[in-house]
Amino acid sequence: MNRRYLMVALLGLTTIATACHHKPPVVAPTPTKPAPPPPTGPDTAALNRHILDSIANARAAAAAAAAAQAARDSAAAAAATQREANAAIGAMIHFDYNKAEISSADGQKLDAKAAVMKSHPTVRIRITGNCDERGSDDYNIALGTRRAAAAKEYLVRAGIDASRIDVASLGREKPLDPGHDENAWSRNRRDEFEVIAGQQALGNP
Amino acid sequence: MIRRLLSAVPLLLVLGHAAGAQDSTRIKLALTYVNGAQPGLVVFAGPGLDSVRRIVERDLKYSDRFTVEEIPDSMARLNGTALDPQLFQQFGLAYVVELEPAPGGADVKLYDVATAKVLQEGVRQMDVRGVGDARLTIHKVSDELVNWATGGIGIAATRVAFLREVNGDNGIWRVDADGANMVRVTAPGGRMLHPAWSPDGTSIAYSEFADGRWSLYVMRLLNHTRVRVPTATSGNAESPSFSPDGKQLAFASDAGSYTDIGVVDMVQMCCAHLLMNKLALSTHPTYSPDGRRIAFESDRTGISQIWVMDNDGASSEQLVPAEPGPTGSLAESHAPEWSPDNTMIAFAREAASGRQVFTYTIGSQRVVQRTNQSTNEDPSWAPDSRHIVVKSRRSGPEQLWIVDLVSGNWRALVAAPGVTARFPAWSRSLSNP
Repeated sequence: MNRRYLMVALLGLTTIATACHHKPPVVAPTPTKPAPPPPTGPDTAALNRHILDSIANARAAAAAAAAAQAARDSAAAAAATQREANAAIGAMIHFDYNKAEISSADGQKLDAKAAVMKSHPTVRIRITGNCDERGSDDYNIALGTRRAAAAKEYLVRAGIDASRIDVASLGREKPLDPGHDENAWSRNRRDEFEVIAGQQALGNP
Repeated sequence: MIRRLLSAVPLLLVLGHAAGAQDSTRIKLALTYVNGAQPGLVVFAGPGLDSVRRIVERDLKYSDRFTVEEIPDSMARLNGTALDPQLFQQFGLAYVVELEPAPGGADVKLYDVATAKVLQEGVRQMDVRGVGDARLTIHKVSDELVNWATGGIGIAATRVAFLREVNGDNGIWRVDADGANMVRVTAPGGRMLHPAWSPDGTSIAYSEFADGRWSLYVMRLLNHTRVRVPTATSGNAESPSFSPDGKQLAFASDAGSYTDIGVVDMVQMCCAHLLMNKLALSTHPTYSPDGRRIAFESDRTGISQIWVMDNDGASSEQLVPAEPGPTGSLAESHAPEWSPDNTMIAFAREAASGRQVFTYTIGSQRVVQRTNQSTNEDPSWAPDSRHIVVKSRRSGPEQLWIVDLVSGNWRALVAAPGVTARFPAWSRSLSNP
């Protein structure tokens, strides 16, 4: 009898020990997005529809995001193109003292202007020749005109209609640099270019 | 000298009534004036004529034909006494000017000290307050005194038009030849250049930049109206210059790589045409006093030189011989101005000391450098053909100075701090305020 009780007691302890051994470890709960409520009941079709809708919604959202990014990229590219076009049009060219010849480097700038004007046929420009403070004031007005005319002639030879180009001269009246040395003079001997019609086609500078 | 004179003045006044005002001018003596001499002169004035006396005194000094003894008003007032000119001889004075009040002006007397005679005398109408444009009535008396004493032409009753720039404000102004009474001619705003007086002094032509080009305008000074000159060019029109009779206006016209000289009929305000087509850069026309020739600058030989042609564009030739400049190559020459007496052309040329004013004597073909301090250019002649106003950097910025080619005296005309002044144009003797 005592032996039976002992066996029962040992068996009970073993069961308890075994039970304690299989208990899962306690861990902190991970915050997770609540899962969509499962379909109630055994409606498999509804479950499938739910899954398909979720996928479609996700794809639509991705497509919209891609389109928006593409639009942003396109706008940025267009803005960059406009900036480049305006920069090409507005780039100044410079001259040697008492000269009106176009240098090869400045010829490339004029080529870029011609390309922009060809792709924007409504654009008209004014070229304004400027001089340093040397030479007489009267002579400088005429020399500025000659410099502007030289750039115009280059653009016309590049295929731009002459009627799309005005020339002007400010002589020494509008110096970029008020200095009285060669550094200032070389900056001031220049043609400036401005759009006088068709700026809308070019966009904002 | 002045101190000795001042101490002696009370003794020199001989009591008695001044000669009565007279309406006519009486020629007492003929004089021979030695060009370049500056005989001593002193000016006395009766009550109420202190302002007149000061202006006349300064005008005569600025004529560079006299050594003017400048004395205070209190010592120069006559108070009803008559002068004894002979007593001035011991001070080396050659002339005494006496101004006595007269209805509407003053009785003006010029004494010759050596002979103790009144050389000339006359009552002259003038605004004795000596302010504003009415100062011209006093300047005219000064010029008459110059003529009485020397037989020459005075420059007091003249004005200089110029481009004035202050803090980005740009406009054509005029100033009396003594530097006073500075008045704006063109409305504020805009960008202008090249003022040029009409010979009668009633208009100023100038070029103005608008819509990408320079166009010519005339400002009628009497009614202050602005008229566009029909130059019939699609390009620029600048650098105007009136013919001596005022009927033609020569100008520089460019519409591309080349600049030519054109003329427009200022009576009919029409018929503009170019005088030449030399495929060069030609500008700054200036008429000869007889109106038959036009000098101008042109780079048709490669660099700017002074050329001349008939007033119809024929017979053009280089006028001033080219000479080597400071770098050894031929020096550029610019901005010719024909002297009113037809003896010289003033122009600017590169020199070792920078750009300077030179003159070319028409008869002898002699070229003389006239300036050498700082840089000086854009000369314009006074009516006496011995003074020129130039754009100079003597005081730092570009401002206006007057130089007497006979004595070499310089004086500032427009030289206030912060003011840039360019394109001086000296009027002929003016009649109307």
